[in-house]
Parts: sequence; C-alpha cells; structure tokens
Amino acid sequence: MKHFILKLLLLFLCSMVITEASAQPLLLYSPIVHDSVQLLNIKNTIRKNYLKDSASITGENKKQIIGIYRDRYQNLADMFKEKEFMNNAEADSYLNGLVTQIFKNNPQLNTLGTRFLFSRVYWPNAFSSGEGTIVFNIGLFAKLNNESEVVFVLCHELAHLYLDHSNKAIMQYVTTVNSKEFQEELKEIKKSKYEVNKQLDKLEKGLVFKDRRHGREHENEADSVGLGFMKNTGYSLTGALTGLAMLDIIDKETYAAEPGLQRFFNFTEYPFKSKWLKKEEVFFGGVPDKAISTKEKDSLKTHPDCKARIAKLTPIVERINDHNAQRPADNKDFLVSEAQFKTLTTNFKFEVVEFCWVSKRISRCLYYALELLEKNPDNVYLVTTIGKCFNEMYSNQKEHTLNRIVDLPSPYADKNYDAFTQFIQNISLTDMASIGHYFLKNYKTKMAGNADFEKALATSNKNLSNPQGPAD
Amino acid sequence: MKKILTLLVCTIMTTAAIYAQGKLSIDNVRSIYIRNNGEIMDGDELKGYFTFYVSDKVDSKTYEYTVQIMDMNLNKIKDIKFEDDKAVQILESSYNGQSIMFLFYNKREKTLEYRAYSFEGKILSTYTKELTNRSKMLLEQSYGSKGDEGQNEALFSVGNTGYVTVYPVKEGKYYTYEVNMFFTDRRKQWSYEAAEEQEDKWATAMYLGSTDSLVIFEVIKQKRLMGGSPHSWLLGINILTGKKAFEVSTEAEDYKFYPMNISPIRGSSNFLLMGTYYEPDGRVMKDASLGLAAWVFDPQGKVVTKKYNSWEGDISKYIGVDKKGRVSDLGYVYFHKILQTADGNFFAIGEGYKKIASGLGIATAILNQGSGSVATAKLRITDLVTFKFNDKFEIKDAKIYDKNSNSQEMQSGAEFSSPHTMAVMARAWGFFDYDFTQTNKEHTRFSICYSDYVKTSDFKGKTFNSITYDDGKMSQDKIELTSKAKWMRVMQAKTGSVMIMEYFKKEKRLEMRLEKLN
Repeated sequence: MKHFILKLLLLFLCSMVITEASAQPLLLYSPIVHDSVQLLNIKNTIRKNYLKDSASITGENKKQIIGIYRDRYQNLADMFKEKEFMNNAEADSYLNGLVTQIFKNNPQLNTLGTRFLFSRVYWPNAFSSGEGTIVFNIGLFAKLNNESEVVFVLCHELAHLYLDHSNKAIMQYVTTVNSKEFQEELKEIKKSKYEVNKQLDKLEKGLVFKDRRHGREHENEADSVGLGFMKNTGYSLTGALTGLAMLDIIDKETYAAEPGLQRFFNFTEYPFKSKWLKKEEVFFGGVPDKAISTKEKDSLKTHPDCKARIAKLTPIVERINDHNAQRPADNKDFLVSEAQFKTLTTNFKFEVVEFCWVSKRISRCLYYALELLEKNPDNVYLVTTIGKCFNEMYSNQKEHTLNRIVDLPSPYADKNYDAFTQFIQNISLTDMASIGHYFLKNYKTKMAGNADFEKALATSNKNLSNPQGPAD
Repeated sequence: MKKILTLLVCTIMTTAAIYAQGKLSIDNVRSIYIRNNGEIMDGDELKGYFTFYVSDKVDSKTYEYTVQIMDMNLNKIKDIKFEDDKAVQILESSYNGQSIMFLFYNKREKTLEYRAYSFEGKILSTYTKELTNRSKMLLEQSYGSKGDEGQNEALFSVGNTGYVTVYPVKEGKYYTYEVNMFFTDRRKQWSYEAAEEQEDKWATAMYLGSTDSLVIFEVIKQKRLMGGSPHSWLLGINILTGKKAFEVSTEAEDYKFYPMNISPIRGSSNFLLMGTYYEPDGRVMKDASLGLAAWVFDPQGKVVTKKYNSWEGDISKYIGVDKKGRVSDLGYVYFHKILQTADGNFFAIGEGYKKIASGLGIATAILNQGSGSVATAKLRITDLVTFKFNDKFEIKDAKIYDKNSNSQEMQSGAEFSSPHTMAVMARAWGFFDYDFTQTNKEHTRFSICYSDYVKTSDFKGKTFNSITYDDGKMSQDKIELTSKAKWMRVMQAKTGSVMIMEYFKKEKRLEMRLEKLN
C-alpha cells in the first residue's frame, strides 16, 4: 500500500514537474534550424509527382487540367521558395510519430504516397493539396490542446486525399465549364446586348453554389471518414469535437495589446503618449458589408459552420464511445509524447514570430512577440526581435515603404490585432527610433554579450541619432 | 486628383480563371467600365474613396452602376448598386458621420442630382436640379479649377446636419450661383438663388465654412463680364431657414479684404476670417496684396475686430520684403491656404512668383513679326513660404522652403497682365508646385504637399514633398518619384499619409498603398 501511494505521489510529482517545466518562462530561444537539403528533396519529389500526374491525363480537357495541376504545383513551389516549410529532425520525427499512429491501423492509407510538412505560417490552417502533400500550419498546432485534436485534423486531411476530393473537384469543374451546354450558354450570353453581367452572375452563382455544395459535402465526408481513421488509432474521439470547437474560435486573437504597449513602451526618457492609442474615427458605420444574407453567406462557405460539423459528428462519437465503454484505455489524448507536444507547442509559438520576421510580416511579428514576452519577460530572443521590429519599421518608414511590411487597420481584422495596427499607424518616425532604442537599452545589462541583441541595440543607437531621416 | 467633367472610360477585363483556345469562360466574357473615382471628404478631412463603374447595361438608355466605397485604409466597405441613365457620372462625394452624399451629373439630361445614402446603402434622400444649357456650359467650364487637388468645390458636409452645395448658374443675363442645403437628420431642403437679388452681371460663390447657425461664402461680384473690378462680399445664410443672415462687403474704408478661410472661435458664436488685403482702391486681380488680414465677425455679419499684418511692416521683421511687397528671392506670394490649428495658431501657406521675360516668346514674336502664340513674358514659380501667427493673428514666424524654380510659358497676351493676374491664371491651370494641404477635423496637425524637380549627383527626377506641423513642430519629408514601376503617382490620403500608386507594366499590376509622411 505504502509503495502504491509512493508510486502515485511520484507520478503526481512528475506530472507537476512536466507542467511546471512547460509553464516556466523561457529565457532563451533559438530559431529552429531547417534541413534545406531534405526540403529540396521533398520539393523534387513533389515536382516528379506533378509531372507524372500530368503525363497520365488524357481526354479533350487535358490541357486545362494540366494547367490546374501546374498551378497547384506552383503554389507549393512558391511555399518552398518563401521558406514556409519546416524540416527539423525533432519536429518531423514527432509528426511522423503521429502519422504512424494513424497509418498502422489504417493500412488502406499506405498506398496514397503521402508526405507531411509543417508550415511556419501564423494562421491556423491545415490542407491537403490533392497530390499527396499534407500541410499543417504551426499556427494551428500551437493553439490545439492535445494530440487527439491534432490527429483529427490529420485524419480529416487524409480523408480528403483518400477520397480524391481535390482531383474529382477539378475534373468536375473542368467538365462543367467545358461542356457543350455551358459553352452554348456562355455564347448566348456573350451575344446579348444587355444584362450580360446579370446573366453571368446567375450562371456563376449556380456554379459556385454547386461547387460550394460539393465542397461542403466533401468536408462532411472528410469529417466522417476521418473519424473512421481516427477510431482505429486509439486516440480519444472527443478530440474531434474539441478540435472543431477550437477551430470555431481559433481566428480570434486573444492578446489585448494595449496594456502591454503602455507597460513595455513607457520610459523615463521617452514616456508613453496616450495619442499612440487613439483610434481612427469609424467610417461608414465601421462594419463590413452586410448585404449578403446569412443563408447565402453560409452557403458560399467552403467549410460549413463548425457548430454544424460538431452537431453531425457528436452522435457518431457518442455511439462509438458507448460501444467502446468497456475499453476506457482507448480514450487517450496523447499516444506519442505529451512532453514533446507541449515543447513543440511552445516552440512553435516562437517559430511563428521568427517566420513573421523572416517573411517581413512585421506587425504580426511584433504582436506575437509582445504576447509571448508577457509570459517570458526576460527572453533574449523576444526582446531582440521586438527591437529589430522597431528598427525595421524605422528604416522602412524613412523610405515610405512601411505599409509593405505592416498591416493597416481594417474593420475585417480581429479587434485585438486591429487596435495594435492602429498603434503602429499612430507612432511617428521619431517615435519608432526612440521606442526601439529605449526598449533595448532597458535590457542592456541583462543581455549584453548576446550578439543579436548588441547588433539590434547598435542599429537603434544609429536610428536615434538621426530620427527624422532625409531632410535636405 | 483633378476632377473633370469629361467621362473617363476605361474597360477592365478581369483575368481569365480558366481559358482554353476557342473556349469561353465567365471571366473573359464579363466586363466592367470604370467611370471615375475620387475622394470622400468630411470637411477638410479625407475619409475614404469611391470608384464608380458601369457594372451592366440594362437597356439602350439605362446602365446598372456600382459605387464601390473604400475606407481611408483602402478596405472595401460597401458596394452600392443602382440603375440610372447611361450618361451619369459622380462629381464629388461628401461624408458627415451619419450618411454619405454623392453629387451626380447627367450631361445628357442636364441635371445635378444629390443622393444621400445610409450606411446600409439605402437611399435616404434625393434632390434633383435641372440646369439650363448655359448653366451646364458654365459648370463644365468652371468645375475643377477652384479647389486644392482632391478637395471638394461643390459639396460639403455641415456637421451631422446635412450637406451644403454651391454651383454656378446662368439666369437670363446673369452669371450667378445657387446654394442648396440638404438635411440628413430630417426631411428638409432649401435653396438660395442669388439671381433673385443680384444686381451685378457676374457673381461667383466659394464655400468658406460653417458655424453652428450659418453657412458662409465668399462671393466675388463684377458689374461687367469683361473688364470691371471684382468686389468681395461675405454671405451668411441661416442653416435652418435658408434665409440670408447677412451679405456684407469686405471692402472697407481702410482696406479691401479677400477672405480665404474661416475659423469658428471656441466658446463664442463669432467667427474669424483670414485672407489677403489690398488698398481700398486696389485692383485685386492686378495689384500686389498689402499683407495678410484677419477679421472677426459676429453672427449678424458685423465686424468685431480687424488685424492686419503688412508686408512692409510686421512681416518684414521675419522675412526680407521690398517696398513693392516682394519677398526676397521669392517675388510676390500667392496664398494657397490659411488655416487655424487647434493650439490657436494660424498658418498661411504661399508660393512665390515673378513675372520675367520669355526668351521663347520674344523669339517667336520676332520671327512672326511682332505676334506669336507664346507671350513675351512668363511666370517663374519660386519657393514655398509659411507664415505663423498667434491666436491674436500677430505674426510670429516666417520660413522659406527652397525648391527648384520653374518657369511657365503663357499664352500670347498674358504679357500685358500684371504678375498677379498671371498668378491667378497659373493657379487655374495648375502651374504652381503646391498640390494640397491635408489636415484633420480637429486641426491638430496639417501637411503641406508640393512637387519639385531635383537634379543632384544622387538623384535626378520628380519628388513629392511635404511640410508637416504636428505637436507644435515643423518637419519635412520627401519621396523620390522613382521606382521599378513604369509610372508612380502620389495622391491625397488620410491625414498624415499619402497614397502611392505604382504601375508595373511587365506584371500588369497596379499597386496602391498608403504611406505615412515623416
């Protein structure tokens, strides 16, 4: 009994350590190193597959279909060119671990010729490109709660591939628009003297509705077939439902930056100015177009409402769970490694910042870096990156190219992020130089010796000494 | 961007999503035609943009139009669709925080139509004015020559109450004007037709601004169309009733005063007018001004106080001025704008000009034995200058901003005009380098924007320049108008920013982005 209690205590203490370890602020972060050779090999494989798929197309619409395949390949090639894809031994090994859990009890998937890639972008999404590549954005991964939610997403995308939705959709669309009936209808419309665009809108709406309906059907199908794959993995199926619930709200940015801005950027030498938080007067009611009715809006979505998807899957999940009530051991949220999941979740949040920096999405970079700094207050990487952001904004503002690297306020943007973009619009060139400099200067004692930090600080010194830029 | 009354028609073919040889696609059958585009102003402040295009042809006389509205950050906010005559175009747009109003002009029907829309895109009110042939011609001749680039000259927001409009008309033998007020917070409208009481042959009105109870115009009257001296009047119309509250001459016993701008006085129903002043018998179009003046009026149109800053006296303490009122190296000063900032200071923005001999004109005249198409005198446009006054309109500072001088040849006959008349012509023809002044509604900051042509070892070409006043300080900025694009243009945008448009020919891409001024 004593041993048992001690074991339980030990288990409990270990879980506390793991939790503690993952909750402790990070002092240092090094951006993930990518294996560029391996990435090149993957890209070459994708290109070979594209050429092979194109060579296999026959029929009268061959040229158009190959054109679409080429666009599809080019999209992926552009992602390689922009260095969006990760190839890191630890992250890939983990991802492969998850994939193995899916494939080992779903042998029908082995013939698909798949490859899985993490993408470094911040927006929460995953997609199956239709030719075997499945991409999982780290922006999505970092927001999920456990492996079972990740695995549901992977199973959903695999289901699209397994059911060949993408290629079927391409074939259907090409066949429809090239059909004799469609072409004749277009010719008639073209000959019309009046209401040409009205007729085209009607024709296009029918096409879009049809495609969207098929898109929605495909999504529902991918949900239920994906759930079927997941059932064989040993993961808790509740992850499918909680994952979808997360997707429903995942676009909302949770970090309300204003208190942080006032705290981080208030210096004795350069106090925070309240006018930096002033919001632009709302124009035209400040809301985006409401002309489209709710019904039409929903019917035009590619992905049906997450709540509707949850409602469809819940009875299936409950049925399976009831059936498996005798085997509670099947209900697992983690099968590969909870510790590794949590480490990657944390690291991916930093990697999102790094990629926003590399891809010159500076307002996003600054926003996410500040968010992380709240919980990791003395992190050299974050402090340096924030300083670099101000230096970058300064040099772009001098050249009048600032809005190529930052987002403008928008009524369509998330409210928290939108308020942050307003701050960037309100600060002047002198403010950028001063805020960047004094922010870094505050950390000089703690972070001296770090080469990146020193370099950022030196640049900010130079900016501060000539804040107004060119003035002849 | 200059607004002109001729149609701007551009066909846009959207790119084909799928297109095979000999086969049609939806995208390559569809076409739209852009009629025109412009800024949406709320008083002095730019709030958004509109693009007006033909989205379909309904029948032989009717088009379906779409007005696409973007906010000041270039986000698409609304599409408003309606059907109308095929000859319609939008002249101006104004916004008052409650609604948006467009001024439509139908060249074929000879009508002006004012249409107010709610935020949902529903029509709140419509007012149509029919024009006579002569009024139509007058409108087409004069429209586009008065305001700063991008600023309205016919349609203005009046607080949250509505919109006031002013446009020229020809009534019988009189060249006159009409003022209309359209309320958006109630179903009410009034018209003030100046012709009913007009005595002079020619009168034109320019909107200066409004107070709580009045809309105020500067009216220039001339007894005869050709020749004769113009006289300046101040017209105040009661906002609610549309009745004339006052019409007073600004030509007093001491000086002739030509107001350019109005400023309400905080905590008072009085208002202040700023402008140039002349000798009592001075000829405004021909003579140099004596300096800058500010008159305070009460709501009845009675002058309460006057303040004068003369070139020879007050202003010369801050800048070199000769007896003829010429500023050293600058020449005479043409005032583009006067405004009062929230901190109480006043600023006057001017640009120098000189009348000089034209070698081309002289040579042409000699070759043609005394006559030629080019004048023997031309106008040299020199530097920009700003004057700062305190809240009592006492001059406190003056600064010259160097830029490259440029000379403008004038049409034959202009050599007989005074330099000041030539300057007025130059202004109408867009010869000055000054582009516009942008400010926010609160007048806490402003930016003076102008063009220049630079030749240095580092750069040769056109530049866009700004002088910004913010937080009590002046700063300057410059954008070199050179890029990898085929062409590049800088246009007005929200306060503190400009819109940069670049066309990349190879990629067939038009990039529009906002950039902040430094």
